[in-house]
Amino acid sequence: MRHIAVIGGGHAGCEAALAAARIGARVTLFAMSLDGIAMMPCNPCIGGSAKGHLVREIDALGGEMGKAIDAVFLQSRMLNTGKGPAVYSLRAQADKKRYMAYMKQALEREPNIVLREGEVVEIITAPDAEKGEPSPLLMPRVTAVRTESGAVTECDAVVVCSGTYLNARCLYGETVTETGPGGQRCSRRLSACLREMGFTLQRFKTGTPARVHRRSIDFTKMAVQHGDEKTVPFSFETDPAQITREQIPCYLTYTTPETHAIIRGDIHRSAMYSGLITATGTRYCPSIEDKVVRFADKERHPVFIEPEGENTEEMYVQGMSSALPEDVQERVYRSVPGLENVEIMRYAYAIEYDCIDATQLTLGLEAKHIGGLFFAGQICGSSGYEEAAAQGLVAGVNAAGKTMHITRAQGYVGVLIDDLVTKGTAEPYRMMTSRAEYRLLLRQDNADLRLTPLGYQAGLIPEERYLRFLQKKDLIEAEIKRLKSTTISPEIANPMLTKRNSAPLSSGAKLADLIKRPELDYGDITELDVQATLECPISPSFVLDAVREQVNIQIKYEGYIAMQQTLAEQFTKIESRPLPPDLDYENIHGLRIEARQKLMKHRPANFGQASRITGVSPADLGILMIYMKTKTHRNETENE
Amino acid sequence: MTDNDVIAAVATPPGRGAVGIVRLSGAGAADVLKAIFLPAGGRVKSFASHQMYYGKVVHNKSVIDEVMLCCMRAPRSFTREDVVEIYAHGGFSTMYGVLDAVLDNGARLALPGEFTKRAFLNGRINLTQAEAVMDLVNANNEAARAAGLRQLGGGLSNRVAACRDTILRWLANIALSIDYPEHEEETLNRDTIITEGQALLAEMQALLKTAEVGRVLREGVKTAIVGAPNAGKSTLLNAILGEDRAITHELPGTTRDVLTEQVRVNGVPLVLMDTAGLRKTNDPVELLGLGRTHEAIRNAELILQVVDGGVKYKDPAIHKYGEKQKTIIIVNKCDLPLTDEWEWSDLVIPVSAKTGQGLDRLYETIKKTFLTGARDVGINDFAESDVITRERHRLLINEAIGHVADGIEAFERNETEDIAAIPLRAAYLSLGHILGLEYADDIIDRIFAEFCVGK
Repeated sequence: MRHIAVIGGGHAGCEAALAAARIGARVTLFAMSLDGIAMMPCNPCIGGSAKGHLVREIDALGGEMGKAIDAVFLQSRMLNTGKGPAVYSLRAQADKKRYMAYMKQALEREPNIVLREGEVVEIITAPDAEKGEPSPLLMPRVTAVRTESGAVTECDAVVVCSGTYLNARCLYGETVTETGPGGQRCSRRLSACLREMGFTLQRFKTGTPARVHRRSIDFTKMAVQHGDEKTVPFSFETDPAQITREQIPCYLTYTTPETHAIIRGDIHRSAMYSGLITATGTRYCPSIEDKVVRFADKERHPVFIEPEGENTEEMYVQGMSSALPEDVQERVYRSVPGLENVEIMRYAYAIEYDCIDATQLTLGLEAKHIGGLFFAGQICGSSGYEEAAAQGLVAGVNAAGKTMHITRAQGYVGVLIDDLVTKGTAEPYRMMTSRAEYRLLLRQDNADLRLTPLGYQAGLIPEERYLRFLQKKDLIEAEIKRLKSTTISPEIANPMLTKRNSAPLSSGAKLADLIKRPELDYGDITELDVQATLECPISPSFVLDAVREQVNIQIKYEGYIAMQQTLAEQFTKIESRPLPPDLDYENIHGLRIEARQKLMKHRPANFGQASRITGVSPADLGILMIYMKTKTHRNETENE
Repeated sequence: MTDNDVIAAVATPPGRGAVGIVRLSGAGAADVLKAIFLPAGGRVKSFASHQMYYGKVVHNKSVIDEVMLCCMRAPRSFTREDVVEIYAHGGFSTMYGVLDAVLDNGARLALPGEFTKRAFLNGRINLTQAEAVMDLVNANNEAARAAGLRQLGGGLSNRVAACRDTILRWLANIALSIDYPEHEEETLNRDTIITEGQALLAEMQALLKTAEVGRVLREGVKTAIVGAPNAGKSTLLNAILGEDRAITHELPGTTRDVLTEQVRVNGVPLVLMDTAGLRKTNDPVELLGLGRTHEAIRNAELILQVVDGGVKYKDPAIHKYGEKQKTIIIVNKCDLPLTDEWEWSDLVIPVSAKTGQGLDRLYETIKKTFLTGARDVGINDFAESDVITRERHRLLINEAIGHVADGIEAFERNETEDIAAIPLRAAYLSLGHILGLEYADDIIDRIFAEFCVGK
């Protein structure tokens, strides 16, 4: 039985441990504090645009995040419903404490997982990993990890999920504390170990706003934001009918010219502007100082007040992340309508931490130069719980010895990992729908159709869930086929068509063609279609709603989906042509020098990945193809 | 880029030539023919390998050319893939008309050296030739890069970049509304995009028109000098060329063949064809020359019809040639007394081929006539850098126009943003290819540069 050591119990670590354990590996998850498992140190929400897609994909692959948030959410909304099926995005406010408790217990209940409190300070390899370029023949492999006490735990693979804890510093005003997020102990020694192993470290920065007391907020001055009446769960396995809880509202207010004036007056006291912070920040979560400076002509910025949980009075102030000193933060927050008398419980702060250059990793998130060493989450340069969890799952599966490589054409998970390891990132990376080339294929509604077979192959999807999945899939296909082959007469269709302001038929038409009309959908058709009796004997009945949604989308957008499908197939073809990891690009005649250097540095796994490296042209790829052909030809001739 | 999709290119060198070849290679190359080829003998179910077919190439409901073609089935072909060769009449408009037709029906434009590369990959070329093939591809690679930088000079590349930027702005706005739904930032509404879209399409059409100018600049205007014997055609040719190229003689019928010369007048390249004088004759050699004169006239875009200003013609001196030709009447020998009254205009110009009088006006007219396209699209000073001279660029602009039109049409049909963004993104990529720009995270960069979003 393979033994996997997972370092860190955040969102990446949890999914990595669960995935590895579920496919049969023995897992020890090391966390500096077991009370910090699955902590949400920043915003109290899961999902949102593109991130919601990731959660659905994690669920489709057999991960835990979707089930966890379904169990503990306080408010749920489907965003972007007017903007098209590709970008429907689910977002839910989480009860932070209950989320942590849920996830900790999920880990505890997994037979193959041991949770261990302790700080891993060293990763041990054999032979010793030296600085510089190791020879591929003598590539070191991890053999064990050492904790601060000196205890050595032997293992076959390590997944580093250290989040923002490596050499972390929290800063606001002139206050600098050497801690991880939320005052947690940070890790001081692992960074040096990674550097010695030949990893390039970068220093990134992110931040979080203040937490304030509910009783000090005047909600009458804010707009209320309620959840959806009919909630859609994240997990394909959660029955929406089982979700009956009362949803808690969020609130919206805005900064004022006074807010901006206060910030401008004291900007020099922000750790971000005083020179205290040197790390690279992200454009995805700008501080309020950044917003005011960079968008000086904007009169106001939105501020969202969100609950942190049901059993706490703390509220999260989204949009007001800052590194200003306490006294300025007080004045800034109090200049916002509704927050005039606000009681700040925890001040906003910025956090700096070490992460690696993810271009040193394979598409399986394993180090290219050290066998058995995997990375996932913010250590790879990403930001966000969902991004971390998605990487954790993939790293966990690969560490456990199964190969899981999701392509850009298969999921946002694939886009995320490919972006990180192929291009790298110069700032904390956030998932966005515009990063995906085949957005119309990668919808949140069909994540299971895309990825559940991969989860099953890896061993993450139990047999009975997979059977239910196959039945759902068959049902969708059969129904689409039926709608395309069934003709409806004008006599039956026209009364409904007239009612819907849709052009009446003069002769029979296929049901599918009616569904394609912009003003109609599958629901309208089933009204007059007596044959429509969907049955799904082994699944709960809510699955039928998912089937109907799927049938409707697949028929309505058939043309556009087919177009993207063609592009995706071309992409997959080139993606499936491997490049050997030890190819000597320096000596390939005809490659441009820039291309040689880039290819040597990145060592792409296949032609597709090579094509996405900046500085590698289509002609360079042509030369590579010719070279590879020559090489195989030569080998064949030599073997004859 | 995939391994065996159908690629196509003009296989013969650009410019003049009686016959030109458009070559296709890839799995299903013959299927492309179904949509564009009308065989003379009626429908062909399956094209036999290595057999000639005769018929018409039809595209967008109009006949492009009469052609011969031949399918060579894999592996008995140059690339060991299915290959189709279409033998059409040489010359820019027919060759590229045929190429356009195949590109619109499933083929894509071949990359430099791609036919050779495939021939190699499929084992058609032996190993010892491999390095030479790589050199070839590489040379094209470097040349294309260098040319890419040169080809698009300031004027044109700025305009292409501006079009691309407009699309980027739309895409960033769409992405913003999708990725930050909770932010009520100023997003473009679909009506604005539809309105801006019309202006963008007009601008891209204008850019496309420069391709016509580009062709003129690259290939030259085919100009036939015609007229009655001894009207001074060859003298005019020499005057334009500024050298004694054609043999001039007082004996009518001195020029028996068609002479061709290239020259630039006021920035316009001309391919001058001096022809045998048009008269009734029984001399077999001269007859042959006359046949060629008629062919030259048929192929010409510009006809300079020379009449002798000192001669009283029995028949009307002016002939009407084909519809597609532009005719300018040159009333020669204007340094001597004229026998007829002429109404001078840009199309009837008094010239003395001997003294050079009137040539300036002729040149100005030619420039005005053949580079009007350029003025339409806002180019005043003609330079190759300001017009589209590369077929690849023309195709990409054309492609981008199609995509933008699709995107706007999707908005007009009330499709959702995620749908309309698909063709717009494709247009953005096409224009990027022209400028040699790789697609990076432009859309995302744009969002964060222009909008204040984030938690």
